[in-house]
Amino acid sequence: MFFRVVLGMVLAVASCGAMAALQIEITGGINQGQAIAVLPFEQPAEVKVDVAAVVDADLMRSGKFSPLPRSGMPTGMAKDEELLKADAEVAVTGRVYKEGGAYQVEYRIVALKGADRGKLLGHFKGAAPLDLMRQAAHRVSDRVYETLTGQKGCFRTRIAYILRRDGAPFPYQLMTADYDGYNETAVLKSTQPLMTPSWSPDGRRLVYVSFEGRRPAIFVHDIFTRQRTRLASYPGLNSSPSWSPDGSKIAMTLSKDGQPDIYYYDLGSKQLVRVTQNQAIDTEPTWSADSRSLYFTSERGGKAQIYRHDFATGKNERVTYQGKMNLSARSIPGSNAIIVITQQNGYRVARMDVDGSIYMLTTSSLDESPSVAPNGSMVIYATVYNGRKGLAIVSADGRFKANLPSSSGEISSPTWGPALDK
Amino acid sequence: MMLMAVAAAMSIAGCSTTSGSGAGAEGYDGQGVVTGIDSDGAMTVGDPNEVQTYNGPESLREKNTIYFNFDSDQILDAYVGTMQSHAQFLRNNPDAKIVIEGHTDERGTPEYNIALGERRARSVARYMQNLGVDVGQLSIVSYGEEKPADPTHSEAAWSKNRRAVINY
Repeated sequence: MFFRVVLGMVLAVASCGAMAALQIEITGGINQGQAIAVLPFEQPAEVKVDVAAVVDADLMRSGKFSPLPRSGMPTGMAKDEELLKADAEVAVTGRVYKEGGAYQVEYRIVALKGADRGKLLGHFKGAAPLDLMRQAAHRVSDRVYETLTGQKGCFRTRIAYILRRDGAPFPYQLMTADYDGYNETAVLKSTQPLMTPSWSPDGRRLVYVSFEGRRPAIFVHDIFTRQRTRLASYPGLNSSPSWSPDGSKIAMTLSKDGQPDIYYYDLGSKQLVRVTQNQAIDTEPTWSADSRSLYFTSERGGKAQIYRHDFATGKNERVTYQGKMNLSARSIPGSNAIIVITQQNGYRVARMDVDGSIYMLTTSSLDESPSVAPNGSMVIYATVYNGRKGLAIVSADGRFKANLPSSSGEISSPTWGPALDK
Repeated sequence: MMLMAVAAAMSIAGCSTTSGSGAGAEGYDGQGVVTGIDSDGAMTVGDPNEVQTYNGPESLREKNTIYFNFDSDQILDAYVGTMQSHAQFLRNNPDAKIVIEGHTDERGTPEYNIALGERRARSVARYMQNLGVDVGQLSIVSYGEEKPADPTHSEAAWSKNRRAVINY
């Protein structure tokens, strides 16, 4: 079931930037989702974005769809009798056209199989400026995804990550980009390491660790105004900041009182609150989707395992038992399962279901920093691939995997931003 | 002081984003760190012309690194001599101060490795204290896996990266 389909998606965006000439290499599992035919959109020459290709790639990455090859398909708003010839369960067909001064994106979703054969599942139309046509294409993906799965799509989200370019004047760079690597923007460049970015739920701010003062400190950075504030610079570790989904708190690891323990900063009361007190290492706090508990990694039982602190009871319970070591817990929105990095033939992304069983999602050996999409469908993580650290995506069911190799430098610490309704 | 400004000639590949000095406004962040705005609008922190140099006694220049086993903070017998040399220097020079940097290889997660790097640095500091060094002469910082001595992804690189580095 291992495919090595290299999609020729070499993108002629700007020739600068780590993600330029981004190449998506599909490494597994493209034939197990719902078969869908995304027909080429009919679009004017000045629309440089191939809308159908963007939709195709989005749907495939979710793991829930297996798009058919587009070559030989009719272009534009195909008639139903043409659509019904496609060997798929569903077809998407559409066009971009100019109406007055604006561009309109119009598309239909048609069922092709079973009792619904020929049924129109959705017909949408919306205006999009030329320079935001990629976003418009992702919006098509969101609509198609929601129509066919009942879940919100999250193809219009941003990710943040750290780029390291040894030899550059500022080797450590905090970047943001669309979830598929496009529209990359540098937020901060430093001579010293940057670590662990985490988004505010409104998508305006990032909290991260910076070593610019030759020791770690935690900063909150508004990516629009470029204003930033230092949140923590205690003696010892200031690490692993994580913004709560309700926006009210930032969890972190501090070692000012001895061994690394979990704390949170309450943004309302401006108080620092200690959560764990333990002789062993406690670190990597991350929030449950309801902000009522914190997952963290602890060595209190010997090797590192995942624990959960419940704020209602004040109790810490051990969560993972399988595997030598489990690290970096992330809750999966809309599910009781969690994503972890598990040590088994290396370090791999795995999903731990509510019954405690661990399901390996990857076969690589140096995976780290998993981050789950806001709708729970995909996990982005850092891994070493072809001798270089870069980003990769796996669907939360493990069906689909893709590498997003960087064209220069090493990329780490990806973190998925919130889904914003616009 | 750990830092010394030297004229570091840096070649920047192709059209990669530039550049520290020159572009945009510069200032300080209130903590003595240079800040600026790059030509692409990104904020910059730090001075790219500032490089870290070894400032300790010349006789110990080649003996300032202590290597560790995987996932361990235990000082190996091979480095006891190194520790004793630094400890002796520090005892003889009570005004001298050292910074012990803890580093790890890339296996495991960055956040866990930051904690492990701190444990390594502490392990060295504790050993120094046991050798009679005043605690006021010792400070530690952990860089985890963020500053590898060898940036490649191999067993050979990992063994070079699991280290504590002593600087003055």
